[in-house]
Amino acid sequence: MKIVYVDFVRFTPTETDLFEGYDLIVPFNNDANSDIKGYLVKASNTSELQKKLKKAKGFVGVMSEDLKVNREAVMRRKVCVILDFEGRKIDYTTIKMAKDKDVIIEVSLSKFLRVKGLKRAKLLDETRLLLKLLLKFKTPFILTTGAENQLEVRPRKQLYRFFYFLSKDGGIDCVELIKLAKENSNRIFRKLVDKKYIMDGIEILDV
Amino acid sequence: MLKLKIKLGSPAMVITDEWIGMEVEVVESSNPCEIGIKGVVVDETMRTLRIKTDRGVKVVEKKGRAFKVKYGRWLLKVRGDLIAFRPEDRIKKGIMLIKKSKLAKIDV
Amino acid sequence: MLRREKKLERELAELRIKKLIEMSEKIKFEDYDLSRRYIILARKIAMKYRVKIPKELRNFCKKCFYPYRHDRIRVRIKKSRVIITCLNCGNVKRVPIRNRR
Repeated sequence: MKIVYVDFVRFTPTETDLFEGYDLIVPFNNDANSDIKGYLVKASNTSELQKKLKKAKGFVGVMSEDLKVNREAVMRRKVCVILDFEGRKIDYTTIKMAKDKDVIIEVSLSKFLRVKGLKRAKLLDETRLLLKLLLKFKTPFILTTGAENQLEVRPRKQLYRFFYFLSKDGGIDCVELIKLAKENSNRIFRKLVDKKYIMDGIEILDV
Repeated sequence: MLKLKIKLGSPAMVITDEWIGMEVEVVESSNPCEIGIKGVVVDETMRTLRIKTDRGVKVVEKKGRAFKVKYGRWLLKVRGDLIAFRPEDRIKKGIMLIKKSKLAKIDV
Repeated sequence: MLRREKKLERELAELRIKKLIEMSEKIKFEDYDLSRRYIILARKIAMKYRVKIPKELRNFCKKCFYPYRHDRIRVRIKKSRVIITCLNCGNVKRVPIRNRR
């Protein structure tokens, strides 16, 4: 089966932008006008999240610094993705719960580009731990660029290479990680685009 | 509380419908001998389907298999794990599964 | 929290009961035990979702769940009632005949 690569970005891509090796780009930007897009929800506390989720539609992604908000977001039915940036906090129980509720956890590359020095080293360690837990619980996750502007977009090869070495450095099963990431990417693509894909496990073969 | 409108004849409702009398074919299985078993479902239990084929009645487990099913005007491929409940439980649990899954296409 | 959709469940249950009993009626001369199994399944669905099996479909023995088949039951009319005796288990069902005024 052909593997399809999906990328999440935070800006509206124009035609001049270069995306090497991606089949589908999902912009999480509420004023974008493209037909396939995510719905971005930014919240700083739980009550704000609940209020904003009432209006939300479609492929909802939550972006928040607060641990409590992330945990609340995982439990909500509308939320599909927990988006990644440098200040995101996520813990053991949230990851475990995300497996149950089928919420995708994004692991982005661009957060490393935005910070420098000691912060970056700490972030690397944090991400390694996150990847370890994701593999342990088999939580759905996706590796993306998570770019906020065009300069942060990286080609697909670089992205997967980076996480391959990152996980190998931390003693994580790197082959399994890449394999799972590709599978999830495939699933998201089919959910969003393919009309023959109804839900996990059911698909139309013929009319 | 958000309410979901599930259409009765939509393809996602296979997992809640009666499988006895349906035409099925085993497509995926860890046992290579089971692939290609084709016929009408005669009986159903919590873990197995009894399929009446040209060469007698065969018993196939639901878990870990995938079935090709003719349902309404569609030809569907259904993973057996979704129907691995008691036949009478499947109405309740199937609706829950459909409601739980994100971005499921219900109103086709 | 996910809530159950009881109305939809009942609707589906009724459809499935009808399907099952019709199927049991179809094969009752070929495979008597299997058609009994279908009736048991239909009854289980009816009990779980608290749906009544419609009167016209209640064509089976209350005790042993074998569907009524002309060679396995005895039908007599006595004292203005129909008496149906199941010859599998011996259960007697009496249906009074009343004049409609």
